[in-house]
Amino acid sequence: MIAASTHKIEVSLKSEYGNAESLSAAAVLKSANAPSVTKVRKSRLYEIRGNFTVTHINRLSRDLLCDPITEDFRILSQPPSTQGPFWKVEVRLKPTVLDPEADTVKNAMVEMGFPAPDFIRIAAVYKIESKCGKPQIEAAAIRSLLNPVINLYSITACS
Amino acid sequence: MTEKIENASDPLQVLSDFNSLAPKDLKNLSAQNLWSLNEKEILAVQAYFRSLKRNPTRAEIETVAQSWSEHCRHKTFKSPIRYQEGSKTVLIKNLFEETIARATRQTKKPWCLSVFKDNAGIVSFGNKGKWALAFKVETHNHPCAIEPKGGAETGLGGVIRDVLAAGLGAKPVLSTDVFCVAFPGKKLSLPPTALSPERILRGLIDGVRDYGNRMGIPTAAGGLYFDDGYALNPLVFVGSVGVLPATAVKKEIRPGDLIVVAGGLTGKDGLHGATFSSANLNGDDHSTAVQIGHPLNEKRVMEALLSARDQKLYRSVTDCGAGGLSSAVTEMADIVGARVQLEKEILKASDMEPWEIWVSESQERMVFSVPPANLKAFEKVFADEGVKIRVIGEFVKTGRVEVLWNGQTLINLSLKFLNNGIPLEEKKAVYVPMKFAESRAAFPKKSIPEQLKDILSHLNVCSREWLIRQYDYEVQGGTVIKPLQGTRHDGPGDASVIWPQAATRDTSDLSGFAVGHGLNPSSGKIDPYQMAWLCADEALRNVLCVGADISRAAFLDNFCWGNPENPQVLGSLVRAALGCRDASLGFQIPFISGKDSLYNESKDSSGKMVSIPGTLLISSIAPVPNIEKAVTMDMKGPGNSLFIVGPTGEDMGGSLYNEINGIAGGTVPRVDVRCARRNFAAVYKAMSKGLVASAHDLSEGGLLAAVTEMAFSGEFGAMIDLDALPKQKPIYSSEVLLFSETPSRILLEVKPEHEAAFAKCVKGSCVKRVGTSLANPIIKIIGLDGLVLFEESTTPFKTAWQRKVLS
Amino acid sequence: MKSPKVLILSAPGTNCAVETSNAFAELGAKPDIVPLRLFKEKRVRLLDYDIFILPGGFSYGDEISAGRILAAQVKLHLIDIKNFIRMGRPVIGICNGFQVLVKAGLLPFSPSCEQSASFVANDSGHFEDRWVHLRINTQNPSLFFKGLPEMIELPVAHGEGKLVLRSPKQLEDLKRNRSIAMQYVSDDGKIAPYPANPNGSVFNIAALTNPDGNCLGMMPHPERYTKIYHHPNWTRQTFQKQAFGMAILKNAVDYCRG
Repeated sequence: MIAASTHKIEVSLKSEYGNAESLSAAAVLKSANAPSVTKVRKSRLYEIRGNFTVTHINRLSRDLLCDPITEDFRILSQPPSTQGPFWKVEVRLKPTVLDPEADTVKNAMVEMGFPAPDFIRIAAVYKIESKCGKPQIEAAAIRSLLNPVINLYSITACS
Repeated sequence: MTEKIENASDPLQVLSDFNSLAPKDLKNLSAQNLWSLNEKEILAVQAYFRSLKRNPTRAEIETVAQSWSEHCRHKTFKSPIRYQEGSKTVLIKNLFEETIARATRQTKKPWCLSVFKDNAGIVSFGNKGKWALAFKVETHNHPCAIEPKGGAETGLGGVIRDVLAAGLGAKPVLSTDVFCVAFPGKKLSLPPTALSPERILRGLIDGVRDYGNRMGIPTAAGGLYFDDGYALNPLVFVGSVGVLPATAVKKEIRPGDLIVVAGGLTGKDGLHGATFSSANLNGDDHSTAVQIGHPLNEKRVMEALLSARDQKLYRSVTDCGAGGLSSAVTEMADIVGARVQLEKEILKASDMEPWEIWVSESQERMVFSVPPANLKAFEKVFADEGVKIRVIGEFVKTGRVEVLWNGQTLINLSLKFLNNGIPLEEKKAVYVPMKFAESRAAFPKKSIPEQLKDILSHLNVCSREWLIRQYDYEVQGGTVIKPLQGTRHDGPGDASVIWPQAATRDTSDLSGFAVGHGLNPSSGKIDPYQMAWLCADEALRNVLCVGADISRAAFLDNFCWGNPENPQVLGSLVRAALGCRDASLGFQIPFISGKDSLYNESKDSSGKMVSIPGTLLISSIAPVPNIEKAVTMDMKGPGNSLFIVGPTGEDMGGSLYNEINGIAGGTVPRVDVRCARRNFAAVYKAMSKGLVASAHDLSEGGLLAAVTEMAFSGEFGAMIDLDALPKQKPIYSSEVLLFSETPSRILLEVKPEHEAAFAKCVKGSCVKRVGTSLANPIIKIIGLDGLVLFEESTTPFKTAWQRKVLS
Repeated sequence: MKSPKVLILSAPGTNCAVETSNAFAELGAKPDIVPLRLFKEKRVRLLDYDIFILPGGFSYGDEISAGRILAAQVKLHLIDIKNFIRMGRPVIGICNGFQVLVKAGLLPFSPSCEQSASFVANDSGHFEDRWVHLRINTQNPSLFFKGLPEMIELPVAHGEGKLVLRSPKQLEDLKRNRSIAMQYVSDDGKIAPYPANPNGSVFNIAALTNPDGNCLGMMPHPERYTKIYHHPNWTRQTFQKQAFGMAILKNAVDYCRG
């Protein structure tokens, strides 16, 4: 019996494949009063709670969550690679808002023979390179990337 | 007990001193709990429970609050109104009955299969009337102001479910979206919680795109209108058209049939949507009322429903929308009665009170009435699509809605009280006509070609290609006339034509239909009565221009107004409703469905309450009996004759020309309905014989904008002789002739070989030859003096029209 | 064989199965829309069919990425598909179906069936519906383009249609084994950027086949051009009178009729 714990898997597009989503995030941030934003990289963060082995999580990441050609994944117990300095903005849906992607991924995992997870939530992670201070990043993010009515978010400085 | 009710350990939550509360305390209680029941209403509730000699449970009051909400009951349209206009005062007993419903009755159209009573209006369709079309347009304004993307998604999801629940269920074949937002890029003094117009518009488009595309329903009939009056309260009209067999229009409730819920599980998401939509936006936290959509779940429900419908496994169905199970079950129970074991509903949140389960508005759920013998088969159909169903009770012949929670009575209300017990207060409405000088053309500041560029690049006229392309407008393989038309597939079509082969599965039946919209808030600021006429006229011309049979057209109304407690706001609403009645009777076109959204007002940054401009959307639907005869707006070739339908008057009041030149007000143009009807009938006759090469309606910017759009979309040119224009009275100004916005006008292109036959069709109507199409892509206008007024390449006009809207 | 049997796979979120089925029915074939579930329950055999279609849509809501979840399911539950292809029977993956074929490692073809290409978001950053000009590669050995002109038009409608390859060398391989079936071009037939190339695909690739030419993956939608009334300009009479989408599907049916 494995104890239920929360596994975090971050999936991001390899830089050589461009990133329309990251570019548009940078554009809306800039138009939302954060002109010093130079670069944004967006990634997806899967938070999955349940009885999973390391093998499960690896296979899940490789076979389902991450595209073998265009994307990389990182299981977040590993030490984060440093590419800073940047602001990391994580955006999730509030627990009271149904997350359709998480719901679909959960069903797909079961259909593929994984143990049923107790809980999944998917966060968008924006790594923002900018000279702006935290209040400015926060204000710009609220104006463009997230909505406090439905989202929870965290902003951390990474170096 | 004026506090908000605390979670009690008692699941029934009996309000133990409710019957003894003083009126003031009752009113506070209603406000604290977001019931949106006014004093008179909550007193009626108290009187009811006093007569029963017991105190209510919280769930019972919630049920009444949902049932009596503006959203479910349309109180304003059904209350008596003392309406004062000038020195005249009349008592309107029931606004809806005396305007829109009466007009529909009087038009007596046998092809109207269901009007105003089901989840959507239903009209007959297809070869030999084998099929029917269900059409519904709804608003979803309040949620979209707070969370535009989620609001647009759940709004579209809701109206799709309405069509799925029309009759025994229609397959959605077209989605429509009309947005009214503030001009982007302007510095507006918004309160800190308000979202910018850009963000709202982007979110709305993302929502309709992501939800509609995933549902596999083409979004191909939309509109976008800018006015700063929508800065705090954007308007979002979403619509759905579905196809159902004519034999599946009738639904019934029989005692003994099971109440079955299908779809998503019930959670805390979306509590109080119905009552919330009756409250005005005041920057409070209404987050539980806002959700995002789960299109995959709705699609699963849709597929299962259509399959169960074809196997005739249920006798009635309704959408679980505003008010959740409470509204759905009581609406279905109608006068029969229902008994529910609420603990049987499956939850996704563990900490829910029974009343919360009863009124939760979790998305993507529907309620069915299933004969017990069919339950097994019904369950299988849904399980195959991965949809959970649960039997939560049965219909019983008690005339009551009874809800049990683990054997204890949670709710026991008479349906008569719920349906008829609402005390309707007489409301006061005053209409004060605006006084404007006779409208005249502004003194032009620029040359005519420069003014034309200003008009074409105006945000309310310019190209919507950037938006339309984000929608999957061709899924289901039925979009035979696209929203974008012309050589380069980028011209502004008046409407799309849908050939619903994916619903009928009969590729030999070439019946199609078209949908149009009429929206004209700027005229409503001057006279709401005329606005209704203009909306009806525009909605009709839209579908006529693509070759639809307007003698079989039907209308839908959507009223979005401010606070009806304000007599002037209500006065303007009444006047618009009277306009709808008269336009419906005048054109002999019935309304088949409608909706109203009131209380669209919010406090601005200085704390002042700001209301939207009273906004009426009239949507039209009409059959195109043979899609091979459909028509587009792009000019088809050189040397063809251009005909104008309808005379031109000096209608500059509220025109875009005057707006651009800084003149507000003026009189709003009037529709000459007898002339318009005669002309429209002649145009349809010519189109049905294949005699019209292209057609485009004259709207914002008048004749010059319309002919320019036709020319650049077809990559040809046009010559127009102003002297040849039929005029209501002598007009000596070229600007007026080119830019006047007289309604009921259409520009047609006719090939030389068809001219004789065309002339026969339009005999006796006001259709006059005014010019020729040219091989060179230029616009050439011959002035009243017979000299060339100007001659310009169409290229700069098209460039101006294709301006960027969002950066 | 008079009426080839066509299996059109449906999964949660599949959108274009009905119109695809209507087109095959009009061609005199026998189309069946078969839910993925029946494969899981082993109640249907792929090899009982003559043509296999993966239709367009948003399978599983395109969550994670377009076609990703369905591709994983196809690998698990449609094991016969490799045999089906090897036996030379026609397979078409349309739009989402193409994405599934690629993510299931079936296109571009490799003996190991390892995924070697993928799709990312359109360069425009959002979903787009537009008609495109396509140039059919006359060197491509496939059975689907008989009797069609070199230049055709079809609609595309997708948000993640930018085909990307593992390496530049792979593009050379695809050219060499003539697997590139169609390219997005301008109206005068030239390789051109957006909007001619609606998504930014590498080398303007719109469609791929296996080297044998019986397995076709295409972003454009043939089932949306089965009548001349589907063309955006049918009211103008300035284009060819053939519905190219129908012609592609007809070639698959005719091939089975032999």
